[in-house]
Amino acid sequence: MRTGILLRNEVLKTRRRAAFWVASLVFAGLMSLIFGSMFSQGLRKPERAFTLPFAWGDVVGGPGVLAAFFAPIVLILLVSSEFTWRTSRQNVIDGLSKEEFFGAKLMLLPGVGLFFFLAMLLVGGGFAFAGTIAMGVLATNGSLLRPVDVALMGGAIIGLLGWASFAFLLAITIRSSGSAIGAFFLFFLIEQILGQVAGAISPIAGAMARFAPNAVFKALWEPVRYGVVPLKQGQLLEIATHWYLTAGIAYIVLFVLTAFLIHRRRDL
Amino acid sequence: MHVIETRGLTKRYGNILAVDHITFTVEQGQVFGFLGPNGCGKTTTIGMLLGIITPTAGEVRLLGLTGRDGLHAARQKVGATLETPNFYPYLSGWDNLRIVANLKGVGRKTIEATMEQVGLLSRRKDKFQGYSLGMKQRLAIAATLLGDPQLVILDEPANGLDPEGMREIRELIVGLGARGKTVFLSSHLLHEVERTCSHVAILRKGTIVRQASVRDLLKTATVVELRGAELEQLRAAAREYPQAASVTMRDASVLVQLHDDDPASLNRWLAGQGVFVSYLAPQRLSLEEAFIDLTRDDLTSALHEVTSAEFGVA
Repeated sequence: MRTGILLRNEVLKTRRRAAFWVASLVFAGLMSLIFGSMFSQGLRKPERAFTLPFAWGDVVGGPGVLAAFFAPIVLILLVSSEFTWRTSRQNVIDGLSKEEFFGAKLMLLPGVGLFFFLAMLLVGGGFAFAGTIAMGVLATNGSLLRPVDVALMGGAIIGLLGWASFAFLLAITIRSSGSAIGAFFLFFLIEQILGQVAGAISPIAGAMARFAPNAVFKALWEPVRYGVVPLKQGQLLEIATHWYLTAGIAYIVLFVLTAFLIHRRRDL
Repeated sequence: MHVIETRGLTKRYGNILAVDHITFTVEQGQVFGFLGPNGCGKTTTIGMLLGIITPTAGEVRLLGLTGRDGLHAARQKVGATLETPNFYPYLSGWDNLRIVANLKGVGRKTIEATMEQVGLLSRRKDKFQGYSLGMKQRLAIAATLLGDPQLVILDEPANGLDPEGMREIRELIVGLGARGKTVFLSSHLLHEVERTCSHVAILRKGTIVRQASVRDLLKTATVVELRGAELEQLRAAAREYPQAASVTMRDASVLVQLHDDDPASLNRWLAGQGVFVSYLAPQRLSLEEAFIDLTRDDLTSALHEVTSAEFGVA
């Protein structure tokens, strides 16, 4: 695997892609708007102070979850267009093996995922840091980042990569960006409906539904699981976080492996 | 060593047999034309040669290598385009070639020289989506030439080119052949193939109906035009000639298609039968006529389909 060459080509293709920058700007604009309003609200109402390290729960567990939708959509656009334009076929004709082509696309999965996650942390964290300075609590709040915040970010990254890996599977399988994006949202809608139906039918089916992909990835974004936000009185975590982490990682492996087998088997 | 060798190559898509037990070879230095009507399996065959379409049965050897890994290794020494030029529309011609060059391990100077060769250097910064079809074809040819490949596979390279562009491509292909490169050219422009190729294979409904050198193909398709005082007598006598493949009438002439390339023998034979001709002129078939002759059924059925659709005949 010529990793360096593949990476260089993927960077060249991505940084020249208007869709990538449009999505990034829209995302950054949206994040700025939301976190900016949280910042200004915090200045007006001290009980809603948007300060670090307590704001991480609001940043990652709140509007930050939008990163987990932007990243899969951008990933679908970047991957499926290779099939629409038949450049996937031409890349292989030009000397890549099918495995190398798959590897090149797979690099985008963590690349795009982390790009949007870090953008969200940067914008949200930036406004929260400004709030900390403005409120004059930089010294009294202690650390800007606690271990529980790091744990939340780690879990959220697994959740984001889970959604992104499902999007990656759809992009490789369907090979059309519009249909793949449609299928991506439709699947989660159907999963949610089926989960509710399952819960109504029997407790066992309901428990199983809580391990469906979307339910798992969503759970990994909950700040309460990591102690970032305290549990409310009477609130219980029905399923331990380590089970969700295991299931999340298993789903990522499953989706990527399935995508690989489908890609390897199919003609280009 | 055969540069390309296929044995019993077959591809089936469900009930459709796209390629049916194709066996052919292409030797080093040949400029090989791959001809056939639309939908006869040319692109599928090229896809199998390159290892991007998995054959249902049969074997492909490219530069002596076979199997999944073998074909991958062979592709490093092959430059090829398949169907339309496939590039990133939002990237410039230069950036598109940079991607190919990175894969083939060639530098900027080679990209520059290749773009110059196909006349695109002045438009290198323009986006691919803004190129005309002819420019896209030139870029595709430039991409195949990067890395100095041993074998060049071109699928309809003259599509969208103006006469000047076609002439340039023809010269380029002839030049590649002269440098000892092997060129595999799929085309429906028969006069172009006739002028550039040394060998051809003619494909019909997924099978090869003829593979020969262009010279042999045209030689065996010699037609002799005869005239004489007694036309009916001349036709009857010609029909008896052992080397006559077919005998037809046209105006005041009898056309005899020969199995061999020896009109003198025909003349002697007719004289021996007591039939004397006042005019004898050998006419070599063009590749186009030979092609139509070999693929007549396809063309007839295609024409029938068009006529049926036009007049609503079931």
